Amino acid sequence: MSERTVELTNPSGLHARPAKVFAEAAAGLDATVTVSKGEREVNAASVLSVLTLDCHQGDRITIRAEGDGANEAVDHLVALVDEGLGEEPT
Amino acid sequence: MTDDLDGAVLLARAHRPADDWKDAIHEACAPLLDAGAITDTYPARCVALVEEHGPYIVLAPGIALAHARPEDGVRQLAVAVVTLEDAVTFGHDDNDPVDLVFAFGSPDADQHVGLLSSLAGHLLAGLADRLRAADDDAAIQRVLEEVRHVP
Repeated sequence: MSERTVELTNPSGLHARPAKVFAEAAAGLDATVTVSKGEREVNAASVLSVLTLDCHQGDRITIRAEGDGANEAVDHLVALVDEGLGEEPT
Repeated sequence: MTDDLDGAVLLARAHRPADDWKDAIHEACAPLLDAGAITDTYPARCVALVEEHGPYIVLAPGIALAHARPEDGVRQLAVAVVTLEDAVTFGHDDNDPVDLVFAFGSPDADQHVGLLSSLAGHLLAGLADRLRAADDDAAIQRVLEEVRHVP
């Protein structure tokens, strides 16, 4: 199991296109990945589930992965978030 | 949060005709335009975002959620939904064809706290099939009203 907490720096947070970019990336990894904000933890690979978290710019999310590729999965998703999920960070 | 959802504009129409995905987005926006929740520039911005970025608004099989930015012309927090007489294709790899199109608008980036989250939660719990099963505007409106109650 591997997990990291990261701040969303992109303008839309986990909404709109960034939510899709995040969920598709999570779905393509060799690990079972969840994302949580506060008490709620959801399947990171489902864009609808990710939208239920209502994550905005500045929110901190925790990415948790299990499976053979857990460490790489978390590293990959954290890097994606740090890069702004396809949006220009502000 | 509950107060926000109580004040949100929710409008639904059943069995609308649409020639293609752009037409379907305009159909989904039409009730919000009629209600004054969005301005007449907003539907074209919803279409333009898909033209610029691809069909990312197709969230799940058969379901699209059209939106643009607050500054593109939103007066009130609002969601509309239409079921389509004939499904349209957005060019999505997995989730075409689409027969249920939502239009979403929020007057500022933070105000959709609650509404979009609630809508996504209800969609995970089977809202789409209940909307599809509604035969007329009154019936589909009653189903959409469920979204006011956070799951």
